[in-house]
Amino acid sequence: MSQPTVVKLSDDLYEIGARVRVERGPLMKTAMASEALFNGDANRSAAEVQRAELNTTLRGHYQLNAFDKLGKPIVPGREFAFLDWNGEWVWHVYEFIGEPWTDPPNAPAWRRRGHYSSKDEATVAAALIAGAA
Amino acid sequence: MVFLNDRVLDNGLTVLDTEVNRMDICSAEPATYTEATSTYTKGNKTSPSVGAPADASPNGRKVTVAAITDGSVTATDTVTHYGLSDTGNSRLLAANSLASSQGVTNGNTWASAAFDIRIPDAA
Repeated sequence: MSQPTVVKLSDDLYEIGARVRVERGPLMKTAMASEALFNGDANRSAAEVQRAELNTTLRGHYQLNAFDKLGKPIVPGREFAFLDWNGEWVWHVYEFIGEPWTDPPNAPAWRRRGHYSSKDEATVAAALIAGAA
Repeated sequence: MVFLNDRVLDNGLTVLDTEVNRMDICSAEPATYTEATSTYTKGNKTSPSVGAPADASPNGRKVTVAAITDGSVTATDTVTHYGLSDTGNSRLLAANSLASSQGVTNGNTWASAAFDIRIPDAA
């Protein structure tokens, strides 16, 4: 089987064939929201609480009652999603879905198909998807 | 903490001034250029106006993204985030949440007030 063509669009974005991409970016994580996590507590700043509980810092990018990564309000006592912009970045794999998809209705678009810690791993996975497409 | 001349901050912010040529409104926070311009986009505005770096309050430097009145909505959904991208180099340059969520309808236009992007002084 022939290898799909790899086209570099930027240092962080490559197209593998016509319908698969790999792109470097932050990883989504989840955590339990609390007052201390965003505002600190009696003994620690918010950044110190974040380092202890999340092993990263949010640097004010997320706030209580604002939106989390998924567009849901961040509420104390509930899980929220965030992008770890300050942590290790990964390589995301995307496949172009040419048909409209629903829930909610969307036009054809690139949809995420997982992530890998290295570009080489992501490229291998992307090539498999491209070969099967 | 080290002192940083405004020129150091400005050289970062100038990238937004000179390279952003597309703003997307998104249904989730985009992690990449692909997500901002395709996976999560529900509308966009090409060639948004981003000003030159200026003094920010209470400190640091900022650029201002000018108000938009004629963005195109490309899908019906609720948007909560935006992304600013450089399409020529396929780069997502900035992303953040909107002040409030907004339902949008495919085929309509969208608008936003001007907003700032700030780099604070070194603490």
